[in-house]
Amino acid sequence: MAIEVSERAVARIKELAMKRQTPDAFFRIGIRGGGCSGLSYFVDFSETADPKDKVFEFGASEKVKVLVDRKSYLFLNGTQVDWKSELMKTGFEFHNPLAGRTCSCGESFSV
Amino acid sequence: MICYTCNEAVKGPVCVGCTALQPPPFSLDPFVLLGVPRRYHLAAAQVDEAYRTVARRVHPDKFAARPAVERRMSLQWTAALNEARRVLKDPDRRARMLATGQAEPREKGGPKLDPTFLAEIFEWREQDEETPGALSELAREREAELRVELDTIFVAWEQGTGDLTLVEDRLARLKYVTGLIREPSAPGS
Amino acid sequence: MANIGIDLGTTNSLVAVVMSGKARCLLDETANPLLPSAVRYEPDGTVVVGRAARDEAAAHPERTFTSVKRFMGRAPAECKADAALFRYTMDESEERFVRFSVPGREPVTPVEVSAEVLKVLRARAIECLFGEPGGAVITVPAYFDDAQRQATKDAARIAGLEVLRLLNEPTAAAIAYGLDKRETGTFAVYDLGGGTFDVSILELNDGIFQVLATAGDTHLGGDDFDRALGEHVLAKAGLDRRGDADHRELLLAVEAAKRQLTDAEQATVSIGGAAVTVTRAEFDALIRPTVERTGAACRQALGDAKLTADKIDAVVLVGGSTRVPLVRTYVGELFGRVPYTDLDPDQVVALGAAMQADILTGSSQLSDDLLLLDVIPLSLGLEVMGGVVEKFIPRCSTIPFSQSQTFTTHVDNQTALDLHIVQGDRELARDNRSLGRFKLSGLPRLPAGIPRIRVEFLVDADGILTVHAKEEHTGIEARTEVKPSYGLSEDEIERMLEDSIDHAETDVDVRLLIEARVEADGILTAVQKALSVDVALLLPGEQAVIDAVASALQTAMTAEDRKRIADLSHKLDEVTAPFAQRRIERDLTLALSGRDAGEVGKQLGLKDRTATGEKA
Repeated sequence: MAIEVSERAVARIKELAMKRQTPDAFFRIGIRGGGCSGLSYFVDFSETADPKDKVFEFGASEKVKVLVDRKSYLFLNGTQVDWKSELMKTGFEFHNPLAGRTCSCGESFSV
Repeated sequence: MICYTCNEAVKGPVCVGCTALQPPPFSLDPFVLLGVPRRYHLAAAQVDEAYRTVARRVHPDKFAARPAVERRMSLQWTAALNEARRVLKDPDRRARMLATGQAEPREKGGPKLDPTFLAEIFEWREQDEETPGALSELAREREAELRVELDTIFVAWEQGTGDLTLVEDRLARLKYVTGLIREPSAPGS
Repeated sequence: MANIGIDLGTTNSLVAVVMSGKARCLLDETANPLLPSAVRYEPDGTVVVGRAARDEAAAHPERTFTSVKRFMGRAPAECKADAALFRYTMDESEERFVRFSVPGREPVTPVEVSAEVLKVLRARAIECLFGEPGGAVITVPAYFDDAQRQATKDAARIAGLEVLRLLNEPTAAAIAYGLDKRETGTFAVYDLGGGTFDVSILELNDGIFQVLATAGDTHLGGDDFDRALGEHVLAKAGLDRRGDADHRELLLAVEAAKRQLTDAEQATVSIGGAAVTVTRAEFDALIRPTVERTGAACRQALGDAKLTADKIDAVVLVGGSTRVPLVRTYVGELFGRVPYTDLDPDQVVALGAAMQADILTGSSQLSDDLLLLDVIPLSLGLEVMGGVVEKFIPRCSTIPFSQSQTFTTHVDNQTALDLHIVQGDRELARDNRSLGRFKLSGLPRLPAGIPRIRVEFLVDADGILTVHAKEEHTGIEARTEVKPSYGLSEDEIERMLEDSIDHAETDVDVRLLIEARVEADGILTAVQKALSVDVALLLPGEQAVIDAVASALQTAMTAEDRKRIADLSHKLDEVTAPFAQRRIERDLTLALSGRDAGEVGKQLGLKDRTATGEKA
């Protein structure tokens, strides 16, 4: 098992990297949680990778490098990342086999 | 002083304990604010150096991410600091500050000028009618003399002898004569 | 949250942000950093911003607005010529601010038009930063007066941006160059944009940027080159000034020709079936008078800085109009040195703004010690007897700046005092720009000449003035009622904020309040659930603290104070963090001990939709 990033999401990541003028940056996904609000998914670009990060590559010709930190990986293993652009909701969507209850925004899940 | 947030004793503008900016001191004496010696003979570079040291600690840019109360105080601090630097970098304001405790003349237009001084100026104007340019020539000479006089007064004062009673009058004269230098020569000449 | 830098330009606007210690402009879909500052109001209420609005201006001249920066913070009486130039119809019934008529719609103010541009930049930032930016540094021409600065802040507010600082454009450029080159010395920044010209002299010493002087003209720029060229082309083609659409078409055509003339020796303008060829030499002759007008401001700035041109270590060119070869030659001769052009003149201001925005986070990697000391461009004064101005803040004073003046009354029992504040350097009040009339009322009843009313004028780090007054004997705080001469009142801005909700349904305040409540509700539910399941994991005294914050949050949710709700939500998350950490640690231990994920899911209290989960 690993993580999966859909074609649409890969295209979106490439587009965002272009707009930010950081074409070589890694795309980091992970989870973070403060207190009891629960864990939430986050996405961001990162210009450096930590040696402990898991690195995945997606895309045909120009690869998109996706990073997941070790701790997040425990919760993200098997997750599919997709990009949705709809009237009511635009953003990266996480389909995580571990999380039973996903909130309507698709960004947070509880432990 | 006691920090208003954490009640620790504070020395300087920022509390070492909780990093909260303290209110600016009640007395906005420019020498105290900038932490420079109370002297007339003060190099501009020394004032700038002192200014930079304090400004780095209290400037609004350093408090943009802090609570509103600190942002307001940082504005007051820096406004006071900017005024202090302006006063101390100008020799005349600096002199008046030391002599009277204020940077600007107490009365509008400064203290009354001595009648003999004014009579002398009247003579200069008459000379200027005959020899155009004489007025500004004479005013320039007098300006230099007054500066030397002020310098002498403060040298003595800084050595602990002499006093500053004449300073205000000399500054008023100085202002008057520098005005004359800029004045155009008598009309028709 | 990252702070952003915005260059709100006459012709183009940009947004930049510091990422991994480097400032970068954010690009659009076509990899272009420039957003044309053009806005079109469609009959159906939609708003088109940017390149489409600009390029289709000729087809919709009466509902497209460009170069509105020229009208910011100004009164209709002051900009009749500009309105005629751009063929805008001004609503003349309003004296304090400009309003343009739009067919089939309420008139719009330049502030609202600018807000539309800012909204697009904000959306670009949200997209690239994966969230709302923290705050924004927005650049303004150094020579903008108080009303123009206030108008810019108002536009940002309507666009839902928190303004951290207004930054002078040449200063922003100097930051970009200064931090880039790590140089020390005296800079001159020559900034010729589409509609404004600024020159600033700065000193970078020991990590401190001190602006020594600034001067300029808020009505001088590349638009003037276009106009001169346009008139020349019309004359040469034997055509008259014609309708609006043709006028817009002509402007686009001459602008293209102007760009070509940067590298080419000649360019051809096609208009109304005629083709007119213009040589570089002809173009230079046409624009020379405009270019030479910048010299006076440069000399004034040098004079105010008490410097001569030979004391300048480097000259920086900013603004698209500095690409014009004649401008480069002229600046080179003026300062006796070849200007720096290695940063893109279109982007350098936005990049500097982003750097300053990053520094204002208080945790910048760029420079922890950099400090920026800017100046006020024009003197501030009070109108006294005979209409004469008494300056209380001289131009080029370092800001923030405060000055106090003491006033008294002229008749017995006088309870109010009027102060007329002007900005400018002319002797007579009527020759300067009126900032506002401050009415101090509620003074104690005392014989004439007895009250000592101390009025404090404070210019903040954005270059904006505020006034406070107090009667010194009684300590009575006088009420200051400010009637700005130009600009929008608080009520008018509120109304625009509401309009912006009506029309776009994207207004931040309402949306953020709802989001804050939803988030707070989620946290409260999660906390209650966690407490009921894992009460054993609590430390002594922990529950009391959590309960206190939770109940404060519940109370706050019934009110409208979004910030308080957000703060308390954050606080609740914070006070429950150690407890949550203990729960996660325990669950992770379980996960790592090799049970299957479905099992862990159950342990985690999740509704389990993949009971046959993979091995963790």
